[in-house]
Amino acid sequence: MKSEELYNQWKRHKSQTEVGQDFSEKVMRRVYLYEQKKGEPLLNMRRFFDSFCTRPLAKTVVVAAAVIIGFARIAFSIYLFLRA
Amino acid sequence: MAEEISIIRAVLEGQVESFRELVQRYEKPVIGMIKNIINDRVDCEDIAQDVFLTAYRKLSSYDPARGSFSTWLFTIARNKGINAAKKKKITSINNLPENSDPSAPADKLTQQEFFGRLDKAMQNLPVKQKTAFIMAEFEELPYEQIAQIEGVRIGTIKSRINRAKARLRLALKGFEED
Repeated sequence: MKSEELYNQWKRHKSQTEVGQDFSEKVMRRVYLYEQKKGEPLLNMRRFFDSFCTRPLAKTVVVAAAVIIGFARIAFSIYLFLRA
Repeated sequence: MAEEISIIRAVLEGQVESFRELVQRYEKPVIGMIKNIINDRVDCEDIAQDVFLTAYRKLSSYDPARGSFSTWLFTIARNKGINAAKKKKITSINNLPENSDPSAPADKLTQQEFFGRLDKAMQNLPVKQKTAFIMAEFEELPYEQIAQIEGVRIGTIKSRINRAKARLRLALKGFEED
């Protein structure tokens, strides 16, 4: 077979696309889910907790902040004790 | 075009179900484009779903005066495809032909080798050349639309496609002599 013929076969092969039968259904399900979430109040504690749990960086920041506050409190207590 | 704008208007006015029509109209080219950019038949549908969801979320920002809906949608698909390809860094060749003639094994081997070389060469193209080449050769989009999607002039697109073809030709050098 000639290169040109093979190239055209390759092009045809790459142009063929199979779409899953339920593709549009899957998209629409996600669209409706998005609409549903959009309707929820902004200060939703459960959603806040869920998003917090899925973000390792947020968890690290909160733990680090808690440690710093803890140390600051101990240092402040020692300062007050020494001052008295 | 006018019909599409009326569908978009209906979606923006709250008729969410109208969006299904746009999905069904463009699912094939969007999935095809992503499949060829990331060279993966499995993940392309998930990324295509993200493309349509992003399009839905940002639909109010679409301006018909700046171009057609398909150009706007293909721009999202192109960007998502490039990002996915960067993450995956796919280099494996998994798109070998499915419908080769089983009665001609020598031909099939030649074809597989040829397709393999082209696939590999295409995946190794610089990203801008690759996306322009895919849109022109596989999706058969006009150069003008590709230029709009890529945000460059038509001349630049022509040059990218020519360079991509030259690289593919180089990858096939010596094939006929083999």
